Amino acid sequence: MLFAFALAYITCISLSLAMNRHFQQVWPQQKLSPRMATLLRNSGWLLLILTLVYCAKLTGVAVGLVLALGLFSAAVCVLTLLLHYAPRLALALTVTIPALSFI
Amino acid sequence: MKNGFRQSMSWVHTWGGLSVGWILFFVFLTGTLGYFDTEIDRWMKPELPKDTSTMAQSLAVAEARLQEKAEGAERWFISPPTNRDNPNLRIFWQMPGKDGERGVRGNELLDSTTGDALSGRATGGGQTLYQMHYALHYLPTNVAYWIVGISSMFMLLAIVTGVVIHKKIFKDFFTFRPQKGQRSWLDMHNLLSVTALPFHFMITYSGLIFFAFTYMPLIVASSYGTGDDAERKFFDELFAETDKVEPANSPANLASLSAMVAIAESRWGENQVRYLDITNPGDANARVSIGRQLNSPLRASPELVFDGATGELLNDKAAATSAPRTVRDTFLGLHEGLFANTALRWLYFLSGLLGTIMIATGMILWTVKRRPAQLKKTNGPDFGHRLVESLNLGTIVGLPIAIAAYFWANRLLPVDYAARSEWEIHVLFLVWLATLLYPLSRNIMRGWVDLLWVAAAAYGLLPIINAVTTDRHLANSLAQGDWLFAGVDLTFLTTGILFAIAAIKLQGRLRQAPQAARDAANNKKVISNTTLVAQDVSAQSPEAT
Repeated sequence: MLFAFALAYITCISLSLAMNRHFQQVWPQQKLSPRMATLLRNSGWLLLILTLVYCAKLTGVAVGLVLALGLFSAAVCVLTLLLHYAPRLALALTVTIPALSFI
Repeated sequence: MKNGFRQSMSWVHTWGGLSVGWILFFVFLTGTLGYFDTEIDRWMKPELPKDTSTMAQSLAVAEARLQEKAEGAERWFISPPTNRDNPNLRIFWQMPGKDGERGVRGNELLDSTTGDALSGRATGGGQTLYQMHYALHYLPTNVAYWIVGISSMFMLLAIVTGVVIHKKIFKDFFTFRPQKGQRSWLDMHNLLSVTALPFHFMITYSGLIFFAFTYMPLIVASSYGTGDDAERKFFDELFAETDKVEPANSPANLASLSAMVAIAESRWGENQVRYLDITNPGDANARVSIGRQLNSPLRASPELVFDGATGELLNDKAAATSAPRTVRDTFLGLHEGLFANTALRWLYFLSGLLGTIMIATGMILWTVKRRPAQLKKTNGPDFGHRLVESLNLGTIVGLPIAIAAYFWANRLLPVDYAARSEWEIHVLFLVWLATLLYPLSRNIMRGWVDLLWVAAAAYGLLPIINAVTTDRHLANSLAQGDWLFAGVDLTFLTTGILFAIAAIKLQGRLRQAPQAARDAANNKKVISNTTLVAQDVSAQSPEAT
């Protein structure tokens, strides 16, 4: 379950960092290159599909969809607040949450 | 009405949302608490023990008690303590009726180690709290259904128009810019709406489906006619039990229930039995249907049907029935979320809270937008504006305080007081009334700080009240690994802390506000009642001061 949240969270951070506005929240000095933006956006969409598939595997398609939507709601809220208040932590969580889910 | 499509939609969104916002806030908050109705029930009956018995014990106790209380019944129903909805063993029975009348029914909670009936203190519990989100209170249910239905329809309108008027729904998806006054409130409103949009839509739409027969009675009436009899006939046919077996009227002993449960568990896995539904117990034509735990939003369990006299497995029934019924049940099941495990339940709860706060931010946004212009008026803010501000404060902070008071009443009213469960609810509404009246006598921004502190204390002290009045307090429940009691107490504590943080933040903002505005508030008491302090405190960015 925590791993599913990790997937949803990483999906959201990829999609958000693909926008310059949020990229600069994490790296204020740098500018997002178009190549990087494309890469982040595409991997974001790919991860989105992966998250859906993983949730469906976990609990079946019907409940999996409900679960995925709930996870995305939580992930977007957490990420949006972190991007503003603690952008470094927002980034660190992409590693921490999956690591925690394997313990 | 304004010109232009988007302006029109914006007008509908603003005024449609405002007109029913307070009811919707009430519905969303009490409904969200409903996702933890059983947990709240348990917390409000601290006398009930935590059930740790085995399936075999529960079955033996239940059967013995049913034999004793309801021999010759038409139906027995046993809910073993294997899931969240039934933390304690529950039995139900129905005696045969005469001349088409329904027979006498009864139900009991049992201690499955001793076999004694459990009662616990009288309380409305989580059930009353959650029922208020569609039946309100102090009103005839049909009137309440219509009020909630019309409000839900407005909510649905607000959701659709909200999507239409949100210009940068994808560009602003992850955007939150605090300390920018109106902009920040709009960002927060958008964030809460968009992130849980599927939930908001699902919950509102399915909420309307629940009472579709009430809201659209003519569709049924066109085939069945009008009146109570026609209605009963329709429901009898809609929810008819297709394979009901008539009693043979020759006695036969009930075969071993635990053997049947063993067959069910071998197919489904351990602890997967949700209930045993026994028709015609003690008759040769007895049937035992064993239902599986809910694992989908379908609201119905897959069942194994056994011959009650021989113990032979007769039928393996899937949960789904007809297609229209399945669609309806899926929507209702999604709304109720009974199938949700602990993690998903918390996500449901979180989504519900997002919806509640979304409504609150929308209501606040309405006042923040208009406050600067209102403050410039020579006679002070209009009555309408002051009314909205007071109702906002009295509802957004007042209702949570009132709900905390409901829990306080549960612990502090004498346990043997006869009318205690009614008075718990009266306390809730009296406290809410007080918080609604409070802003009338206080400057509105100060009122916010005051009530936020009251809310912080009301929730923060609940675990302490619990510790003083019962032995199921936080230290004990943590030591015993009783996560239900610990979870409720910790949630109260967290809620209290969050309210305290909000109070401290708002206090800080008030202090930062320009001296001039504060002087105006202190000296000119012409416009005493509401507003005035700090020309829109929330609009002041720190750079400006």
